Amino acid sequence: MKITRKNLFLSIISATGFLAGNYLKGLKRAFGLEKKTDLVIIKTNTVTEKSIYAMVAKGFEEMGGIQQFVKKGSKVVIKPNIGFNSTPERAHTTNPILVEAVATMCKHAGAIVAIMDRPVHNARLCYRSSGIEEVAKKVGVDYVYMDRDKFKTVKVPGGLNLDTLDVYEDILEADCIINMPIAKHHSAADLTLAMKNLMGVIGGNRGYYHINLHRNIVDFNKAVKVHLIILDGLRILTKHGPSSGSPADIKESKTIIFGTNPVMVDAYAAKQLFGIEPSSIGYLNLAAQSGMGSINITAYSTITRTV
Amino acid sequence: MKSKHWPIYRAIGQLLLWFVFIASIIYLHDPVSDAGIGFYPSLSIHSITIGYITTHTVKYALLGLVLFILTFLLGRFFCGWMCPLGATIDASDTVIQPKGKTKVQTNMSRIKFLVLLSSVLIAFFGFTVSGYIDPITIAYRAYELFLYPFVSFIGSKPLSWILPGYQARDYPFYYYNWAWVAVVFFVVLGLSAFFRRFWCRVLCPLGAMYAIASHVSLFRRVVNTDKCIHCGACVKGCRMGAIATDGVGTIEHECIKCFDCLKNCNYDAISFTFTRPSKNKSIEYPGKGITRRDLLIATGSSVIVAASRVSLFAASHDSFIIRPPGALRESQFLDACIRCGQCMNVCPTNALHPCITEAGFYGMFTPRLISRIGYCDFTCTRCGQVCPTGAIQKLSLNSKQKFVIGTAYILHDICLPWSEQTNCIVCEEVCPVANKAITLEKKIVKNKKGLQIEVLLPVVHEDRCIGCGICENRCPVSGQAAIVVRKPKLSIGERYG
Repeated sequence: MKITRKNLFLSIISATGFLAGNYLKGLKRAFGLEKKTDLVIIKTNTVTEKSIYAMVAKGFEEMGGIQQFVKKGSKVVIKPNIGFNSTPERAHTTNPILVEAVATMCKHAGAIVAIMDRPVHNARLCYRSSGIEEVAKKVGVDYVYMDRDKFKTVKVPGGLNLDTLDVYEDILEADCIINMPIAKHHSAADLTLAMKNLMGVIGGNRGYYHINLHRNIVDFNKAVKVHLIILDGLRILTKHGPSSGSPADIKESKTIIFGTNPVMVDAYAAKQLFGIEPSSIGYLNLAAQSGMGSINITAYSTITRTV
Repeated sequence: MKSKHWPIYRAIGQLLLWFVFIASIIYLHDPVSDAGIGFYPSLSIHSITIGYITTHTVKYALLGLVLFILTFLLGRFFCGWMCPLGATIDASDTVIQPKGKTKVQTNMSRIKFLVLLSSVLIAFFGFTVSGYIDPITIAYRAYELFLYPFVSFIGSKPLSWILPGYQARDYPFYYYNWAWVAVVFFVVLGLSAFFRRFWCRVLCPLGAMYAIASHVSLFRRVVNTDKCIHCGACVKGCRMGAIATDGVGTIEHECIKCFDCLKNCNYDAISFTFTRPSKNKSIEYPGKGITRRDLLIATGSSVIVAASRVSLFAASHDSFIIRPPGALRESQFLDACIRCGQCMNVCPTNALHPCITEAGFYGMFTPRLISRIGYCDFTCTRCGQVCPTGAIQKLSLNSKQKFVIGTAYILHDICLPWSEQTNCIVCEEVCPVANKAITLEKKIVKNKKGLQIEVLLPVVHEDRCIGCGICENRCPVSGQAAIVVRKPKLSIGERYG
């Protein structure tokens, strides 16, 4: 562009406008003028492909629109839980249709979407059997096998157990991280929900993180800030988690929870889906103590909708 | 056929078929590929024959038979065009035999027929030796267990740009005992230092079988004696030493149809045509020069090997190693396995590795599961699908998930909850059995400072454990895992005396 008086004038105007807009937004937020909901809970009576799409659309609408999280041209990383080489029926992995619906919406909003996880089992098998690979191909978004050499060491601000963590580069560079855990029983962590799911973006030896697991889970969430959580509570594994169990252990709870604060999402899901007191779960207690969010679920402002 | 371009066509054909071979290895290594198409080892009619004599279990014999029948028509074309080991030997000539030294009509070429005779005789006593001396399995093992891992080790970045999903694999992968596979491979290649294609001419038992069929084949080298001046250019250039010193006579069973003589002849005297064997006689019959003494040595040594079956078994029975799921009983397994190493290549978790001495003398290059390096995936049945002989049975997913290959035992001295009173639970978390073969018991124990604390202690339920080894694989204790997979301690072993 040629620098003329007119162009210069126009760009100064637009820059000022942009800054002023952001400033006003900040002011609004600071004075609590913006409408603030902690959690959006979407329920359904029958789980079908169509209803899942409707649930996701409704959820984004109640969260204040998808534009809140996903800007045009921004890099969005969807982090489902596909840690194990199991088919979706076994409820070890995030529902692929839910991932599909979210990926489709993000793509329509103009984002560059990538789906990734660092599974426990062989990644190629996990992506295939969980249905994520198929879904990603169908929607036309990237699915990324994490590269061992692409983890970057970051500091953990106020870490309880760890000073530094290796976090995947794409996660650090993403404009919006959508954490899409499945709610299931976990033998060590009691439940694996949004906070525990972040283990899948951390490098290094997973086994070691299981020593002092609860403290480490809190540290993962201190190191990686997630922008949106969409918790898959459609079918939940209530026993023998996270990697086995029979059909009898699976409960059809038909719920999706949207939220931005992982502690709140987890506390609410623990109580409402599993009937477990959040205060009895180690990492939720530790997170609440270090001021990451309240676990007093009665104080949350929630919106519940049925699709 | 007279064109001087035929050597180039052959080289291109050999290269293409070598690429098919390489592609089959790379394809099968991909954990989501169809493992049912691992046919390459059964191209060898030698392996098929031996396998049929010893165990009557060869799954894909058809291709090998077709190639053998084609040999009656086209001669020993397999060695010059298709054999992956032959291609490798030809390629390595630039380093090992740069002068292209060859040896005309060596008496040593009778040895391969004796090797063949011995391997067949030994097979009648139940031993499968094709795994050690068959060129296809030697090449297969070398490429799968040594070269491909080596290439992936030094070139994982470039490979990840070419191969789909390469980053998702557990790389750099490697195979325990790979060095011994490499030693065998390099010894076979290094033999070319004596003269070109030493292995193929002197030792190869598969070559011997093709040689016998090739003796009566129809596609032959014909020399126009009016044009030939007996300059000897074709004799010096023949990598198989298949041309008599006068340049006219052909040793038909050694000719691998490389067509180098077409190019080397400056007088257009040579052509390849279909003729009746009686019209254009080979100057030598297969196994010429075998004396009664040779035969005695061959039969005698095979009888000695066969007679040692009993004593060898006494040394190798009830081995401590874990075989892949679906493997036959140890003694049957050793007879059925042709040591092609495909099970190790298709294993998605790098769990299967070749034995050297762990399974006894006879168990060399048979697969074993090393859980600390890779675990047996709960939803995978690939090794059984790819096995060309049924040494590893093809299992349905349901029966695989119940197939017991071992049992996990906790080493209480180094297990963190048991010895350090810290919660760990990784083994319980990863256990794939539906109702968990490892469970956690809550116990109040005294820690090292003397405080009473609550700890979750892992306990293995032997009746549910199938020995997949993911607990040993994922155990966070450094070095030796605190939970190990062994043979079930009360299982019926094969211990004699």
